[in-house]
Amino acid sequence: MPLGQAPQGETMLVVRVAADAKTRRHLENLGIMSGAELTPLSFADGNMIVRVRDSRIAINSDVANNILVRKRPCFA
Amino acid sequence: MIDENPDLIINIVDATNLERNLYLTTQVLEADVPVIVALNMMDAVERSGDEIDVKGLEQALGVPTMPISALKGKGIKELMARALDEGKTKRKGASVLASCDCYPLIERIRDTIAKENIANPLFHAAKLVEGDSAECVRFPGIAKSLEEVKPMLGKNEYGDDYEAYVADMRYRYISSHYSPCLKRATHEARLSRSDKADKVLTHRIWAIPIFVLIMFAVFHITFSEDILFLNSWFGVEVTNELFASALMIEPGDVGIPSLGVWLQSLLGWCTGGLIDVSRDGLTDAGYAGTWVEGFLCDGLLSGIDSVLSFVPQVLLLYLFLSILEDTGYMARVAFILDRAFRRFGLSGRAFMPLLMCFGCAVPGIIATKALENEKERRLTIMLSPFFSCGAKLPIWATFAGIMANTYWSGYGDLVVFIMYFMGIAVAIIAAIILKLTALKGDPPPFIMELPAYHRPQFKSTMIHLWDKAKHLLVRTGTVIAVSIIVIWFLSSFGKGGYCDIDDSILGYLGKGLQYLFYPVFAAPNGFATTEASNAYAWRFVVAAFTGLIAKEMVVATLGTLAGVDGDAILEGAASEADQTAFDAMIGSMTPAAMFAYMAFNLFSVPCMAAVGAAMGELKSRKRSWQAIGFWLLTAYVVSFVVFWLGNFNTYMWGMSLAVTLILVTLCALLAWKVVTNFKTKQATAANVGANESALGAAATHDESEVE
Repeated sequence: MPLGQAPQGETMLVVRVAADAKTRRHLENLGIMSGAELTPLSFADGNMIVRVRDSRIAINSDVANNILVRKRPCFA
Repeated sequence: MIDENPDLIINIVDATNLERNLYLTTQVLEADVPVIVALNMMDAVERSGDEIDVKGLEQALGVPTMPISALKGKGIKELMARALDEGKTKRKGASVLASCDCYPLIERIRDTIAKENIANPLFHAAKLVEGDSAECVRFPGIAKSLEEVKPMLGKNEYGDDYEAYVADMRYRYISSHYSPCLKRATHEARLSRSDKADKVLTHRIWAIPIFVLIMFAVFHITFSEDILFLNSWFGVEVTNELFASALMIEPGDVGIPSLGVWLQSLLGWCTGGLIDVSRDGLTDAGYAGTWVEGFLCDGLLSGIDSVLSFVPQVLLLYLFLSILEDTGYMARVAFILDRAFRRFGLSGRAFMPLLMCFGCAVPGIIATKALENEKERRLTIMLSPFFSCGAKLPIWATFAGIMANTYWSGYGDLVVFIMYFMGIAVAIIAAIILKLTALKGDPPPFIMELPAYHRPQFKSTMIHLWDKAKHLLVRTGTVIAVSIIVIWFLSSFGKGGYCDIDDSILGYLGKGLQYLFYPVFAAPNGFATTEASNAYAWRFVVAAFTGLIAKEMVVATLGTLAGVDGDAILEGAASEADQTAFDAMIGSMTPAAMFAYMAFNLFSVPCMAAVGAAMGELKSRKRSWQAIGFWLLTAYVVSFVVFWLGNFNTYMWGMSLAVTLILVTLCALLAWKVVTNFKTKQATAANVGANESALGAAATHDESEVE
């Protein structure tokens, strides 16, 4: 599902970052890439704050909708 | 690098961002060359409390790994010694992709390249599979057959994007094999407190009201003449003479000044004293009334005085902004305003430069450097003068005082407020128009790391403050000082040499140009009587012209043109007769013309220093001229509209009506276009979201089958 629709407070696994190369590189630098874990902390009108490792990243709704995530399998 | 046949590669890695930087290492390891990995910036890693298990990492990488700190010169000798040893050995390249689905393909290409006796076949093979353009040019045959083979291999989760696939595989290997060697110190206690603060400060509903309140407090402490509204709400007055003089006010003045206003008065008192002393000195030396006295006292010193007069307030404003920036709050503000700004073609990042423009447009324009997107930077620069700067405040204050005396007693503050508000409103309209026409395109995506909240540190706050203030001090100190001398020259010399401003170059210019300003404020119906318009119109034009060079000159020039000491008017220290003469000149304007005149000053070219800054940031002569043209056009159009709307009841009402109707239609059309534009965008966003979630569901499904 797109990150924008992920449940608040639940750790998700990034499946795919569907963005242009420049945005993808920017996100990678901040630790958002496929395989990374992130937790949505708060939503404000589609814009959101996510926790990635030790940092908090704010992203707007367009970006959030282009990051596909899934629930982390509990046995992994 | 690889083609130079090195004996050894030393791969220097930024250890503070280990995972990201080991990506290159995974590629380097594919070459058949001995490799040493040097972990740089280990001092910073230790300081942050993180730990790296260097021995463990060395085992995982399979090559020697050394901690160093280039900054402190630590570990360099050991690194060099080991490099000399290692360079004598041979090494065969190995790939972290060995367990991937695509590895058989890489192996086949490697063998093909090896047959041609080219060094480092594995390295080239991996690059070719990634689709690296330089490699494809070098091995056109292999690249071509690869293009044919790839579609037959079936799709992975990246479709046929092998570059992304290989990158992902490398990162996965890094996080499973190398990351365990990195132990991060947990900052969870501080972070969870920060998250709690964010629950309130970035709340869906409360974020904006809290932000407005904080901004109001900052502006109140910086610009208010009546702190906490003690006078207007509670009737508090200072009657004690000693106390009043300590506050730099007259006993019985309305209101206790805020910190910013007090600092400004204090500085004005100092520079005013300096001018008086030098004037007395020059009179004693027999220079009274000559151009020497004029140049030194009216040109140079008054110029410096008027530049310095608004510096304390701007510095105070920037100090508050720096403190807010240092606590981490400003990053949140960019986030909460992003959605609103997006509708006007800006991202939340543009907020800081625009806010700085309320102090001074020069540092504001220079702060647009932080905006990556070029269109957004241009748009921000073009809007910058509309956020009323510190040098314009005296103009509003002067007109507001006279309007309050003549028309609306006690509503002087409201006039000043209207000017600030008009600036913001026009900025929004202008942004929308520019976004729909000249600067089409969406603002860049908003991605920003939010630092944890922390108490402001004196040193870093001062660094932030200096970043903002240095441009103000340096540029205004040079450009504006020179501009003011130029204005002094133009207004003191004419055909007959040193003369009154009436006969000066500037005087002639004003008399000639006044007809150009008929539609915007100088028409006879802009004045209480026609005689007044004949006598005064050109003087307002001249003052507005000096305002294009430096806004702090407008009131001073109006004073000079009324035949009184302009600086004394500014500081409220003019004699009663002077003040009456000055008020009579300004008061001859109708309120509509006054507002139109203020609007012209607000929207036109802010000052030469700002033009210089804009030229520096736009990096193009053509674009700079476009910006200047845009400012003049906006100023002319807005003051035209204000003037005609204000003259609705006079004999020109027919024309006013026509103009008003056209404008209302235009605005309505514009608003409609913006609304529909926004709606379609939302619709497409929702569609994309739905498609993506379908995709996401499919992906989840596939994976569960595999499991």
